[in-house]
Amino acid sequence: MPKRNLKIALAGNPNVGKTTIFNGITGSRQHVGNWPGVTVEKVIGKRSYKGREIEVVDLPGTYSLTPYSMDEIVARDYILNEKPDVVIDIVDATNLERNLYLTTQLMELGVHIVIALNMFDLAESKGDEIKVDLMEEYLEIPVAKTIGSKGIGIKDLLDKVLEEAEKGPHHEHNIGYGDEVERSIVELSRILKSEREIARKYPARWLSVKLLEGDEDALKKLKGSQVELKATQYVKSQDLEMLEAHIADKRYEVIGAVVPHFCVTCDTLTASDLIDHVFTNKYLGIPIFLAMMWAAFQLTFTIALPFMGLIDMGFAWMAETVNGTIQPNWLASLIGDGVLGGVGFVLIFTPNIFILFFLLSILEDSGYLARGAFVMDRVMYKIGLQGKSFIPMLMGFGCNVPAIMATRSIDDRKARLTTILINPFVSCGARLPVYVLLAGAFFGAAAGTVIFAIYALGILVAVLSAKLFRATLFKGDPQPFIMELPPYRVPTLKASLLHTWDRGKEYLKKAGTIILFGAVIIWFLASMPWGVEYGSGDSYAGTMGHVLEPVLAPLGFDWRIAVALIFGFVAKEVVVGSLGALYGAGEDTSSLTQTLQDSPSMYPLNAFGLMAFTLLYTPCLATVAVIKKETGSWKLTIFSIVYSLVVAYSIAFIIFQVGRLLGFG
Amino acid sequence: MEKIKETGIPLTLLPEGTQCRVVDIRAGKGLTRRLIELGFSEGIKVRVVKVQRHGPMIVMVRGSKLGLGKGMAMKVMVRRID
Amino acid sequence: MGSGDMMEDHRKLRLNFCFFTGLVYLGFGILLLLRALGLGLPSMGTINIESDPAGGLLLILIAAIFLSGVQDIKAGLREGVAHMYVGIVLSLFFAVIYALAMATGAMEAWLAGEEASYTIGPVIYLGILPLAGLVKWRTGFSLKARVS
Repeated sequence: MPKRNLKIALAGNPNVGKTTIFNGITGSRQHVGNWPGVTVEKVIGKRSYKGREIEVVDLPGTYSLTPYSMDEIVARDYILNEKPDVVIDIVDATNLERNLYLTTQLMELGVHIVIALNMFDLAESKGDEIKVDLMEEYLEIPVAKTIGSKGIGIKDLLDKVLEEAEKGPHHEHNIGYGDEVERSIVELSRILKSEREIARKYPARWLSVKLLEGDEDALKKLKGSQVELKATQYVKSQDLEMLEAHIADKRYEVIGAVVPHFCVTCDTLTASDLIDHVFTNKYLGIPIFLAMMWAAFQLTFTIALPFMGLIDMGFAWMAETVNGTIQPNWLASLIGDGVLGGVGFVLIFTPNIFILFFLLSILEDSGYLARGAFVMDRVMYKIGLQGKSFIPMLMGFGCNVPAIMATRSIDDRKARLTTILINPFVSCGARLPVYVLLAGAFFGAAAGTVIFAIYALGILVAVLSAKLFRATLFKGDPQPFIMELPPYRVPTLKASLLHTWDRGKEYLKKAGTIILFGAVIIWFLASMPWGVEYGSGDSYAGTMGHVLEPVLAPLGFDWRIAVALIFGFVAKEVVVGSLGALYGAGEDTSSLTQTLQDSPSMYPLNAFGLMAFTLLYTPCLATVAVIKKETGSWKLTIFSIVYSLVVAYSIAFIIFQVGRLLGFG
Repeated sequence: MEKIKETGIPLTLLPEGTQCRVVDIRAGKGLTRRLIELGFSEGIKVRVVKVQRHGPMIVMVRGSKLGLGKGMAMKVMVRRID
Repeated sequence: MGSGDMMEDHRKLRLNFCFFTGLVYLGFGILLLLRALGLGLPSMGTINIESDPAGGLLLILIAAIFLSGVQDIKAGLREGVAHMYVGIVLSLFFAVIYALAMATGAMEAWLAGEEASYTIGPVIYLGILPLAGLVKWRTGFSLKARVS
C-alpha cells in the first residue's frame, strides 16, 4: 500500500543549481523560514505528483556532512532527525568527483538517495562523456539527468523518487576503509549499539565513522548516554588525525576508482577558462571589476529614472486628492502629510533598489561575482577582510538590510562581525533623497560631484573602521581565501528575478511596516499639541528639537535639523520628509528646495555637514533590527549605534568648524 | 597505520601551467576539512592555472576551479608530475 | 599552401585586429581624459569629445584588454584570443550602456518640454570596430566554445 505523502530533502554542493531544481519541483508553492536557533534559512515547498503530496525541504548547500559550519550541521541533523523518505542529491555533472564526496557521506547515513545529475548539457559541451546507466550500476543509486535552469528532467527525477521511496529499508552502501579502520569501526559500533536509544536514533556504522573522524558534533550526540564514557575512551585511544585524513582519502580513492568507469573527461580549455584569463588577469582584473560595478550603478539609475518619475507623480496626485476630499482636516493631514509623505518618499527609490539587486543577481548567477571576490581579495585582505566580505558591501548600496543578511556566507566569525558593523557606512538607497535634495539645493552644477564625495566618504569610513576593528575588537588574521569559481553560465531570468525578489522584499517590508509606523508617529509629534501649526516649533517635535539644539549647534544644525535627524532614525529617507514638514513646505520637492535655499539656517557648509551626518549616524531602525538578528548580541548592536553616532558627530563637527575657519560659513 | 609520506613542496611554489600531485596536507583540523571537501586529498592531481605575486592563486582540482589563498596553498604539499 | 599557413593567417588577422582596435580606443580614451582635464582643442567638438572622465578610463581599459591580447597572441598562448573576445563583448556592452543613458536623458528632457539634446560620443561610435569583429568571428562567441 503506497504511502500517500512523501517527505523529501534536496542536498548538494553549493552552486550546483539546487535552487532551480527546487523551484522546478515546487513551483510557487514554497515558503521560507528559519531553522530553529540558527540564522540559516529553511526553505520548504510542496508538490502534488501522481496522486501523492510531496513535501520538499531545500537543505543548505554543503560540500560534505562534517560540521564545519552551521549549514552542514543543519543539513545533517535534518536527515538524521526528520528521516526524509528520499534525499535528492544534486550533483554537478561538470564536477563529478568532488560532488560525489558528499554522496558517499549520504550513503553512509543509510537514507534512500536519488541523484540528480544536473547541468549535463554543460558537461557534454565540454566534451565529457557520462554513461548514466553504468553510473547507476556502480553507485547503486538511481540517477536522473536534469538541466535545472531549463526545467528538464524534473518529471523523470520525481518518478525515480517515487520508485525509490517504495523500496524497502536500504542496505547501506559501505565504503571499505581498510582493515585496520574497519576493525575500529566494528569495535566502536559494538559499543554504540549496546545502548538502545543510540542504536535507534543513529546508524551505528555512520556514527562510528564520524566519531573516528573526530566529528565534535557526533560526540555531542552521545552526551548523557550510557555509552558516552566507553565510546569516548575508545575514540581517544585512536590516532584521530591520521584517521580523519585516512578516511577522507579512502572516500576519494573509492570515488576515483569508480568514476572512470562511467565518466570520461576532456581536458580542453573551456570558454570559462578563456574568459578568466582576462577577468582574473593581474593588471586587468580589478579595473574590469570596477568598470562592471560602474556599469551596474549607471544602468540602475538609467533604467530606474522613468519609474521613479511615475511613482513620484502617482504619490503627488494621491496627496492632492486626499487633501482635497477627505474630512476632517486632521485625518486628511494624517493621510496626506503623514502617511503618503513618509511612505511615498521611500517608495520612490524602490525601482532603484530592485534594479540594483537584479543586476547583482545576474552577476552572481553568471558566476562573475566569484571572480570579483577573487580579484578583490587582495584589496580586502589589506583591510582585514576577505574577498567574500565585499559582496555584502556591494549590496549595501541598495539597502543595508539584505546586505547584512548576505554576510551569512562568511564563515570566519570575526570577519563576519566586522563586515556587519561597517556595512551601515556604505551609503544605501535610502540616504540618496537627502543628498539629492541638499546637494541640488546648495551645490548646483557640482551636485553630482558632491554626492559622489559623500559616497566615497562612506567607503573611506567603512575601510578605516574595518582596520580599526580588526586591530582591536576582532583581532585576528583574515581567514585564507578559498572559494570555488564555478563555470560561467547564462543566468536564467527566473532564478535572477527570484533572487532579486528575495532581497528587495526586505526593503519593501521595511517600507510597509517600520516606516509606515514611524511616519504616523512623526505626524503625531508634529501635529500635537492640538491645534498647533504642523511642524512648527511649538509642536512636540519642535520642542524635542529645541532641547537638542545646543548639542548640535557646533555642527551648524538648528532645531529643525535636529528633529529631522531624530526622525531619520526610523528610516533615513524620512529626514527629507521631516524637513519638508518642519519648514512647512509640503510634498513638492522643488518648493522644499526653494524654502531651504531661502532659509537663513541652511547654507552650503552645514548642508554638506548634514549630508555627512546623515550618511554616518546610527543605522536606521530596520538595519538595527537586522544587526541584532544576525549578530545575536545586544552589546554589538548598541555598540554599532553609539559608534556611528560618535563618528557622525566628529566628522560633521570637523566639517563645520574647519569650514568656518576657512571662511565657507 | 604509519604511512610514510613523500616529501613535497608547498603548492605556492609551483608556476602556472604545471601539474602536480598532492602528497600531504599540513593544516589544522578545520582548514584540512575544508580543503578535503573541496577536493584536495592525497594523490589527487592539481593543475595550477594562475599565480599572482600578491593574492590568491587559481587551481583545477577534480574538475573544478578553485581560488586558493596563499595561506591555504602553503599548507598543501605537492610533487610535480610533468 | 597548407593548413599551417591558414592558421597563421587567422592568427595574424586577430593580432592585427586587436592591435588596431586597441590603438584606436587608446587614442580616443586619452582625448576624452584630456578634455575632462580641461585641455582640449576646439576641433574635438567635431568628433563629439566631451568632458567624460569615466568614459576616458573605460576606453583606455578596453584598449588595455586588446593590446595585452596582442602580446599573448604573439607569444603563441592558447588563451590569447580570449582578449579579443572579451574586449569585443565589453566594448559593445559599454557602448550599449552609454546609448541607453543618452536615450533616457534625451527622453526625460523631451518629456519635461525642454530641448532634447544628445551627443553620440566615442564610447558609442567606436563600437563599430568591435561590432565588425563580432560579425566576423561570431561562431566563437558561445559559452560552449572550446579550445584544445
